[in-house]
Amino acid sequence: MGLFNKIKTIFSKKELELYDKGFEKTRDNFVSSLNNLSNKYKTPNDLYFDELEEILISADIGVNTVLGFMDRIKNRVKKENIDDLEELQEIIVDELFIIYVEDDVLTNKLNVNDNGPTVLLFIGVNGVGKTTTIAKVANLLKKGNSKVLLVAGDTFRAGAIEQLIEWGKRVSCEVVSMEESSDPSAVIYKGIDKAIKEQYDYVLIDTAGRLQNKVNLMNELEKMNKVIGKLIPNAPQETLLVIDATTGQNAINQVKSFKEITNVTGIVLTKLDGTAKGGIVLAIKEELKVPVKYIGLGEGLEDLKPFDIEKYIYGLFKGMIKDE
Amino acid sequence: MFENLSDRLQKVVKNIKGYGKITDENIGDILREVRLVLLEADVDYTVVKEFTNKVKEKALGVEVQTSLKPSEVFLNILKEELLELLGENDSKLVNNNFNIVMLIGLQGSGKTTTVGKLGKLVRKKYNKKPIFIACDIYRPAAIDQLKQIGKELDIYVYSKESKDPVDIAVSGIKYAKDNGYDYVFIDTAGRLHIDEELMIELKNIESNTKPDEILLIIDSMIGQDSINVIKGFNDNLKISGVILTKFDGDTKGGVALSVRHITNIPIKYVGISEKLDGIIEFDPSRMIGRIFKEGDILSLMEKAEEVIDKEEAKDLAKKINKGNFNLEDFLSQLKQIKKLGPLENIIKMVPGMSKYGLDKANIDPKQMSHIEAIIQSMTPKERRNPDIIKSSRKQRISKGSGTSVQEVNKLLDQFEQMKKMMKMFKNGNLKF
Repeated sequence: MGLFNKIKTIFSKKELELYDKGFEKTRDNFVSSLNNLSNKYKTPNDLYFDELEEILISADIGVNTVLGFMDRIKNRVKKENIDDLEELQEIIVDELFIIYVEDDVLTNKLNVNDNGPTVLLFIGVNGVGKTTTIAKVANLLKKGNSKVLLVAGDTFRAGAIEQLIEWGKRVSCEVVSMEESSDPSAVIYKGIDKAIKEQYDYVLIDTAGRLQNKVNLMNELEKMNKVIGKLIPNAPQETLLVIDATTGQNAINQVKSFKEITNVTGIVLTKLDGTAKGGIVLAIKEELKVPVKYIGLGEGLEDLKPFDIEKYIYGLFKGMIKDE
Repeated sequence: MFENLSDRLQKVVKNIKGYGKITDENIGDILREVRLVLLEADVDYTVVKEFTNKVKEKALGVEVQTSLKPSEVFLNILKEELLELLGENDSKLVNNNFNIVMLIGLQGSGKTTTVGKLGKLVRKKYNKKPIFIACDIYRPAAIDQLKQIGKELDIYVYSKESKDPVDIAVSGIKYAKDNGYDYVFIDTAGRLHIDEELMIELKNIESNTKPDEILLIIDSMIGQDSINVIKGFNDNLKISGVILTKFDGDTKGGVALSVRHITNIPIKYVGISEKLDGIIEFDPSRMIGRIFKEGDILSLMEKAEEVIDKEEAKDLAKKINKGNFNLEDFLSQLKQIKKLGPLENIIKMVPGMSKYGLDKANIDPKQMSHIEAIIQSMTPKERRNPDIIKSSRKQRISKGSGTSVQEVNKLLDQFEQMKKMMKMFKNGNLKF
């Protein structure tokens, strides 16, 4: 178990504890199923593989990702003549890790603007937690002594503006807003203009939830991007797609459709603490090559963390690691 | 809704057309495909397993009946078994002299919006006087959100400065009784099914208010965790029905196929748009019709009856008969259609549309508003007599409506064609 011990030595105990807790649900399910599997079978046979596939799919790891993964595992078993299930478990974890780190160096760092405000645009379908996420990100950035401005770009949903204003108070950030049903692009213009004049470091823009198959709402997003880009070249520096971790395979559709319209630079995965299935992280990475930048592990302001794959893998498989 | 699910299942059935008959050998491939389709639709894993086993048993069993083609046999089995999963239609909401309905669910599932939709629905359908009680004291501005919805619908929202949702619910119900309301909706805060403290809170609201109905609101995009969520809530409270929201997304909606089978809780309604009338009854056999793209003309007719002004429709029919249908009538017709909701939803309900690929049409509502703008930029005389619109008038109209002359031309052409079609219709020369 070289990989795990390496991870364990890299991170502080406190950091790991949070991941540990946040992934409790996922892990309990996942690890105990994997362990059961190893106890049930003596050698890797067809039934073993069927059940393994079942476990992975029910963790919401995308169906395509799982099928490809199963092929690789079966190949390795054949090629390397593996018949020890404990050894195979290690390989499984290894291969899952590879899915995530494959191809490129992934970074959870935000892309920042060196000359002027950095603009972060938050988008996503309805009810994923965009507004709450903005408050949490603002809180993180403020801790780094940045001057943060919030923009209430969701002028559609009843109560959305009030919600952001209330959060603004709690994290002591100023909020730019206009009345309900105004043109979101107008609010955004006002916000960015203010941010430039008053030298803010970050502008966090909230937008209305939109289902990815609604053409007119997706067009609206394009317009917002134009307004932002006009005021600050190359902005938004980050377009963060917020996804509810309880979403199943549709999460892949969401990323695909939003990517077509706008340059999605990262994912924020919310509500991970409530689900037994964090697997969608892997599917998104493999099928769409968009990195997860933040994850939400609880309802508290402090419970949003920059995503770290090594900690994630640790959180997921902790129960399988024997303390040495 | 059910987007890819239908495409993929139809493809499976099509493939079978290549087989002479269903055998032990070839059924493996077919079922593997069915299984993948269902898994990709987020149907619960255990349900999928059971489902494919049953289909297999049945498909191999009917071999003797040779009069039907294998693809037809298989299609019928699929339909039967899917219908079995969805169970009987059980979408009625409680309807007594005084009713209490409590809505619960995860964060962001759409509880507050659904409260609004249901309030509107019981007022119209059951002729009730609804009231909303705002018990979500946690999420910032949740009460504002409900109040705004109440204002839009002209439905009273009861709220109270209190840190105790049980207290709010109890005094809200008293208020409702004292003031002649007869249908109470309790909007609760979103919570995780594993949050014990908040689950106790829900139980307390329940034991102190004795709701007639507890509805669990579920986002139809939910993945394999759906069963844990449903069971988590159901273990604590006696859920009487499920409402699936955001069904108008491109979700495959697999949860619809799992809920009833696993928990025996019926799905009562589904949310199909952000508008406050965007909710429809969940009828299993109609849903199967949608999955196999046979259209859902019944739902369409019901919807039409709800929103279309009957008098106007009669007038229109008269005009068409007389052959003097003009752009003014066209405009009022457009407005009626808009009331039915997004056009792509309507098209999907019309039987046979998938044959022409029309079910996949993405219609930009802006185009509809362009047409409206063009007609509104015409003088009444022009609307009644479009023939007089020549180039200078066209330029004025295009400027006035913020469109191009080409767009004006296109509209006039389309209108001409429509008139011709109507004439044929009247003379009985139009064949479908």
